[in-house]
Amino acid sequence: MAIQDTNRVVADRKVEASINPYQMMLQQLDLVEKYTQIEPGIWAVLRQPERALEVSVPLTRDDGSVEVLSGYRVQYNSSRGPCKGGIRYHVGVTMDEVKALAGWMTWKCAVADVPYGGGKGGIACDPTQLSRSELERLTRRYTTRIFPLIGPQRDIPAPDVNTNSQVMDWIADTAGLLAGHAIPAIVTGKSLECGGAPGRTAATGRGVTFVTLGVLQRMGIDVTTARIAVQGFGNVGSIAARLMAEAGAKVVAVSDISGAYFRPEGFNVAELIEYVKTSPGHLLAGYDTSGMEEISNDDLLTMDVDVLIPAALEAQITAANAGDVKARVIVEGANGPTTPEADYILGEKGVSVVPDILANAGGVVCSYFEWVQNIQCFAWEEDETNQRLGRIMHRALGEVWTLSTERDISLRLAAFVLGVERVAQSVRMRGLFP
Amino acid sequence: MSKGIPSNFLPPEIEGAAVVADALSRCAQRIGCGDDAFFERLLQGDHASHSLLRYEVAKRLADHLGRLGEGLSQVFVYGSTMTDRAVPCSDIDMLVVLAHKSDQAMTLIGRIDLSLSAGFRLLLPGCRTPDSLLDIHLVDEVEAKTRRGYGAVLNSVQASPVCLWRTTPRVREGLRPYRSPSDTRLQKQQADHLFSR
Repeated sequence: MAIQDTNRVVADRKVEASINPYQMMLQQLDLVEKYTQIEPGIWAVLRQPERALEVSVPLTRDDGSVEVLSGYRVQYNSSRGPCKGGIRYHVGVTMDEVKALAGWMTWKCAVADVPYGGGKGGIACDPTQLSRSELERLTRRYTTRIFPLIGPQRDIPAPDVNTNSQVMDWIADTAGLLAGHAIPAIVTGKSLECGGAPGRTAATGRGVTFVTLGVLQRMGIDVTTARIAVQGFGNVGSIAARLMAEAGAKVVAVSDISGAYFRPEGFNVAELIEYVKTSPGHLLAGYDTSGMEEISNDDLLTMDVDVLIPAALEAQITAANAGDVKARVIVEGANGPTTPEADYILGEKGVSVVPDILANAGGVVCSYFEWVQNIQCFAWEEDETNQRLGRIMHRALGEVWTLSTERDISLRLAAFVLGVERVAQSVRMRGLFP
Repeated sequence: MSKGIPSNFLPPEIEGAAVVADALSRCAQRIGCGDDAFFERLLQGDHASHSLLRYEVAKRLADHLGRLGEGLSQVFVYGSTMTDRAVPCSDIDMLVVLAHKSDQAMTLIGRIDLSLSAGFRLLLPGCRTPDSLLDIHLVDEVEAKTRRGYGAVLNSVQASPVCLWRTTPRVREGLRPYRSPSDTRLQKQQADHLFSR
């Protein structure tokens, strides 16, 4: 292919030289290796998934035609317990991506110290082009394909990109039909009516709050004087904003896709949430209260606050704006809101960044609680769930923070090191059979 | 990646393929031949062409790193890139002098390497390419001053590193005050001590 053709290809942006995510994970493990004392044999185990299954998923469309899609399920490491990880429906899903994300889940579960290994699954499809009945048939067929691998003591899927509680209910139903009896503990993230746990919806935002409160305490900042900016007012951002306000902090800036808003005295977050429930498009636009002004997204990210909680999309804090960030700490409510360039700049500025692998682990912790309740056949009260979540998140933050200080590394790397070392220890104690 | 990308899988902001494409065009201009003719030279393994391409990539990378704030002071290139001896599988030898060899810096360099390497593979089909395009070593300012570790390369007559970027007073002007990581460590230790009481 001549250069002109390749330049057209690059300019077209339809084909980009994208980085293999599995390679990225291996590269990150190379960095972790410099800060740990793990034996080479165990490293060799940690760098490979235990099982990687590719399946064909035939789907009969509503018009009668048949399409065969590719599905995947990877169990990365089960030395700490059954594998846990979501199922995503997206056209870009590949085996390498699923392997990398399964590895990520392994470390994430270990950081939170829940007794799970890591897994992930997905189907390369565009769910926006599928009707509800097509989605159901796709899900059920996929479940039959991965059924030999999954189970309450083996591998427990959960929702992820473009999957939700309805999809989980279909999976649980299909698995129950195949097994001949109900297996509610085979997936988490189910609807409440089908064995889901109360508190699950708010869990990620609540986990972000617990981590934020813990960080404020460690930095000697009184929560009643703390100023918070929250980017994104969805499930994670709105819950975190509400809980931080209830704890006494001032939420001075919020945003969603309709815009960003600032109020020096702090917002009445409960009122904001009520407004959003009934507003057009369920957005902040149109909300009005005294002392409030509209600002730009960049203004919100660079506002002079104690804590910035990005809870929207990835790559929001970049090289272009990281130098202007004035927050003392960033708590990553969303996945990947900080680019590697921004992470470097923030590190040089002395801004603490609580990484997503820790900050938004509330979801996987509550998934664990749902699984436990399903196995016990005993439902907990929501406040019991929240208290247990708080203990786990506080403990995880403390462990990551201490490791970061002891080894003079960022919180992001410290979380990774902690997770990997815990998995390595499990592998070490179990030994290799035969 | 599909969507919902955790931080560990976020690509760098510098787009490897775009950088390599731009470098290829610039090389063809410098030599005064067409794009296709330059590509043919690369396919034939012409050392000077391979060195020139790597130099242009290194320059663009240095510019990108130079925009990342006050912690960075100099970026050098050396080795086969500067001696017209590069072969298709040659990597680009570089040194980055910065205030502190943080893990964030190491992570960033690693991601950029993956991105540029992928760009090389995409845009040089039929040409052997290195698995890892960049061989970058981080040198802190103490190592640079005392010429220890890879700091020694800075004075090497054999290696003859060439500075592609250095911070200047104009660059430093308007940048935020630098806060050393040791200050942050001390603050964290103090916070831990307060918290444990």
